[in-house]
Amino acid sequence: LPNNLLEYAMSSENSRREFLKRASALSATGVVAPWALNLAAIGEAAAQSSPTDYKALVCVFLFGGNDHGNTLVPYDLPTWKSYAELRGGSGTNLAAPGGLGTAWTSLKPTLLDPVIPLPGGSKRQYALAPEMSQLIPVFDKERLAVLLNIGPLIGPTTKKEYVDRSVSLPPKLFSHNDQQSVWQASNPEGAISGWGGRIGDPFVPDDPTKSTFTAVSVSGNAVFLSGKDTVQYQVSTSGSVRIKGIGDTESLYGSLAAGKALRKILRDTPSFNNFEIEYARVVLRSIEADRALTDALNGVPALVTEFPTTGLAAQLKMVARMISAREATGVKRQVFFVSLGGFDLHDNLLAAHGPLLKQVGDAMASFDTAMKELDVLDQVTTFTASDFGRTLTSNGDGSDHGWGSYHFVMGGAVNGKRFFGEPPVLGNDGPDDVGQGRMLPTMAVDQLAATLATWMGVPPDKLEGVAPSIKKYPIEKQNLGLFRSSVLGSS
Amino acid sequence: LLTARRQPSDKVAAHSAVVAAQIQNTTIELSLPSRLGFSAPRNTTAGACVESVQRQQVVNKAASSDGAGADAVQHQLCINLRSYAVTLQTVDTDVEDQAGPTSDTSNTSDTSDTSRSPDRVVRSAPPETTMPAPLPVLGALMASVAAAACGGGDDGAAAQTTATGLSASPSTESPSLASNAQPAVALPFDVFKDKADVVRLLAQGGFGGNRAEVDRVFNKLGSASAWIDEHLGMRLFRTHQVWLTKKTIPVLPENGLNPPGTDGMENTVWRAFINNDDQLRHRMVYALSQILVVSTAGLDGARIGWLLIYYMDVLYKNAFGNFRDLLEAVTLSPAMGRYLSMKGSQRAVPNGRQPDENYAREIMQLFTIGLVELNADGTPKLVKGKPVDSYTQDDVAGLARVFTGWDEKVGTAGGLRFVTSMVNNADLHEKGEKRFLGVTVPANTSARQSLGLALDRLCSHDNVGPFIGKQLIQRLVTSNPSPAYVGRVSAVFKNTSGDLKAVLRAILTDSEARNTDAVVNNPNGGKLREPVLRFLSWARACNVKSVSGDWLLSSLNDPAKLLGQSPLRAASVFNFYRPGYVPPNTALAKAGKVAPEFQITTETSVAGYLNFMQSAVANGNSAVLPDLKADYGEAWFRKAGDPAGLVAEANLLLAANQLSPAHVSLIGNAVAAMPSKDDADLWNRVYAAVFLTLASPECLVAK
Repeated sequence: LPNNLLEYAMSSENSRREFLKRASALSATGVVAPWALNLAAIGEAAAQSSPTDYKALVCVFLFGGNDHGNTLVPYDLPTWKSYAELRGGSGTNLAAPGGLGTAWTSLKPTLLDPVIPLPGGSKRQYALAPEMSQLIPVFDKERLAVLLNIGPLIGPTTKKEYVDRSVSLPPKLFSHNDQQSVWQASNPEGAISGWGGRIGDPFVPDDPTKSTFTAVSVSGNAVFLSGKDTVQYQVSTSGSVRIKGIGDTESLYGSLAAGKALRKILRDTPSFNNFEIEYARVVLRSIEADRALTDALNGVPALVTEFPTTGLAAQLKMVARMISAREATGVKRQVFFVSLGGFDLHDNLLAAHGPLLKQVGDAMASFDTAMKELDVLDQVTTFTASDFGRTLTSNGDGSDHGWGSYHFVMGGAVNGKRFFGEPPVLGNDGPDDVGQGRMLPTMAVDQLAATLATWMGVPPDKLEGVAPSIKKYPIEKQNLGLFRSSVLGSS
Repeated sequence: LLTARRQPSDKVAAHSAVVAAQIQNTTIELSLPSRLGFSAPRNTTAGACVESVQRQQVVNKAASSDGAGADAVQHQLCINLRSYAVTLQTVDTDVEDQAGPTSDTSNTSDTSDTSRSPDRVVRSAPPETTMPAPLPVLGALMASVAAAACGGGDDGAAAQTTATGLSASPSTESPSLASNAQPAVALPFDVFKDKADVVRLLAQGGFGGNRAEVDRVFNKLGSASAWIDEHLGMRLFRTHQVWLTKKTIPVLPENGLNPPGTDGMENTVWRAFINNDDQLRHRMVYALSQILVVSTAGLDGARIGWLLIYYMDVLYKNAFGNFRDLLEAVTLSPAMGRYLSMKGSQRAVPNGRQPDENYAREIMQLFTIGLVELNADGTPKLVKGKPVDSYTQDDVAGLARVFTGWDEKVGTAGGLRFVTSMVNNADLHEKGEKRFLGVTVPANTSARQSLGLALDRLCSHDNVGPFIGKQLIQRLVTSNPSPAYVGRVSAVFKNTSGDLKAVLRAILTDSEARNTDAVVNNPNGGKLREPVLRFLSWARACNVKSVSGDWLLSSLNDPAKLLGQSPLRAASVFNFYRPGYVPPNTALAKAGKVAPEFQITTETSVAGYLNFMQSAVANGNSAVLPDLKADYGEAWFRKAGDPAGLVAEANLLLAANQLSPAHVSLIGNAVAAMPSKDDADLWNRVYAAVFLTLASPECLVAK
């Protein structure tokens, strides 16, 4: 029995007893009936009766394509030297390499000391960008893991296969909007469902008001959050926006009649033109969700955790507030989307990148603290994503569009203080390089999606619906093992 | 006189030639028959021409069994006279520009210093077609003659033009273009059947209009093509740079005081959109600013305002020009240079620094050819059922070598670098061979020549017409144009080698734009008006003015508290929304339709918009629009005692009569239930009628 299915079944305290009862009944008969178990598990999940059964995913999207090269910097000297040279500087001056490189001497405080050292003949070490120092304690508490060289793929892809074009490649590589979409939705611009929304699909409550809060963006519209049944809800950093005059007895320009007319117009459903129909639906969702969310947020104490005064931190704070109101909003599974822009640093990389990374590190660290405050560390998993990685070589003042990148997964359930994936071989025309230090990913976004989906409780037979190419990986690679084992251990 | 300078279209040529000849008392040559039935033999004297026109008017009137129809014909004659007189009110250089201390007259339309490849076919008219200096006087005379010939007493186009300081420009159309532009066969759905048709046109080719403008266009112009001709003939009045310079913010040396930041940009951009009557140019500029995107988000440091207003001026000056010229001016603008980091990109160093690929990639992906090979109708070409990439990473890298060595023009007087085309430093330009899209630029080709060859290659690509044409249709008319519509527009683009006037005319006169019934009866017809267009439609219909005269506005981008959109403030070079955006979980998605504007339509932004407009509509709410005030005036206020009339006014001017009968009566009843004891009551009625209309999805979807 796959571990994830057990975990899925065990995800609710109430259902655990029931599950064990059924499982022992089955084993007592001596019949191995995984399918029956599976059905039982699904039934348990659908019930979702326990208030403690709550899980959330938070996607932190770095718009523009994060320069992974300066986000996670090689620390062992041979690799750092190679890095510094590729970044257009000197591999010998450790304090001032020049080019785009980060000084080796500045990296010690953010050196990552994983539970399991990285494999490889010469020991590979990495440090976080100095600006991300706030994440070091999170890493050390085993709540932060690093994904090495992840990016969109349509199945395992070797460099030879890439060069020969003998495998399917993700469409429209290196293009911002399309790779944002491919990362989020496995399809380029125009995609209509993303894997965050597809993860949410099995959990959308029937109650339309509650279902609104299954997938929430505190950034703009993101295809990531749209599933078959999951409809994205967008909220501002200060909560929902109430339409003036929407209250049952409110007036408009001093007139009750005008107020009433406004409410009628906004609640009417147009009947013919699809633009009108869909616009009216958004307005209606806005009205209904505002009512529910305002009540929910008013019913919970304010967060004690202090967040920095940045845009990203404000978004994550709103996520934390919504999580704190999870009982009132009544959703058992939530997927959130927050974002920070400005990463497309073709120029001015050295000056501009650090402050962005500081925003990310500080905001994520505060969010981790808030999750601890809310006692939901094990129930909320946060991960970073971006259009693509970038070139390692310099264009003089910045880096250009790439492919594979480094990313982070954070949360109490995460097998933290670890690296996942293979440390890439740096260098022009190396085995992981498809030109100018663009990395050919060795870990697919679909593997991440399937792993997170499984953690959220999506059953194995639905994983392909979440991550379309997951079956192209052998079964043992369909789950990246990012999460700590459940009480029952692995199967 | 006329044929020497341009080959105007038939009717305009005929009538205008008459007037011109009368003024100059010379013989003229008329080479084209008039579609209105008037023609004069060659070398007819001016007096004879005028007599002939008058005779024709009488004939037309008499021949028509329908008096109104004859009136319409006569109107048409007058309109043509007037609009051509306007056209002739011309100076080639912008006098206002020259008055400004910082004008950069060499920046945009004059690209003669750029080497072009010998086989370039994309050319605007040569300089000899421009008008000589005395013509402004002639133009003014002609305007009065035109007015007189139409019975005088009418303060339509000519007077309006004077009032707004517009000066007209000579057309630079090629002969084939002119005949292309005005087919001898009457355009279907061209003649306005009602004033709602006018409102629809003003919302597509402009930001809307007030009652007086709608009446004028209906009564005096009578058809979409007449309005388009009128507007295509209007010359850019003055640049943003000039307005800002004269208004408040002097051009300072770099170490000077009061860097303008972005505030001046917001002031002058909103001012121009709201206040100026040469609406088609403004609307085209706004559309172009959403295709050739630069944004405050992504420009750092001081002087962002200067960078952006210069960029806007580049768009203004080229909005009715040739796409190839526009692209070059955009490419070399310091705003774009910074925004997509071509500025400062340098030649490759062996085993080291590589040229910046940013501009090379986006100029292909977003500004010219797009990602996949297109058919002329905008659909992707399929090979074995799959689209074909229009360029590769190697093309990006090759083209990036072209865009090297460019930087702002420093060393001249201070802040001029922000408002002057970039210049090239040959030492930093790539000297090796450059290969892209099947073109090889030999080693040691200069930066200018390389640039010219690159832009020529891009602009001669078959994708440009459908790629740019379809996006312009989406910005102006409809989210989902039929392939046939795109095909018609891209054919004009191709046949005119990218003449944007001809493209605009093709877009706006197309039956798919003009046939209201077909759009209204199509469940996926039309487009969602984006917040900027909704706001401007109100501002134009309700005569919004700046109280201080300085148009004190800032960004309206905040979706929770303000409008949720502001010009030149897109999140990235991918604009506020993508042309291919499909709103998930919708009937539109099921139908395979796109709805770009839905990308910025959220539960937050719909509420923010309503709250913002609710305040804005009720004059003088200092919270959201402290310096703007609507002058509802007679047209609105005197209807406040007549709820049905008031709602009809709002429905016409804001919604092109597309509110449902249910909502018309709903709003009418609500207004009727409002008190009317005093002026304050009556004003509230106006606000309610206007705001409730602006709240209705029937108004927000332009059909």
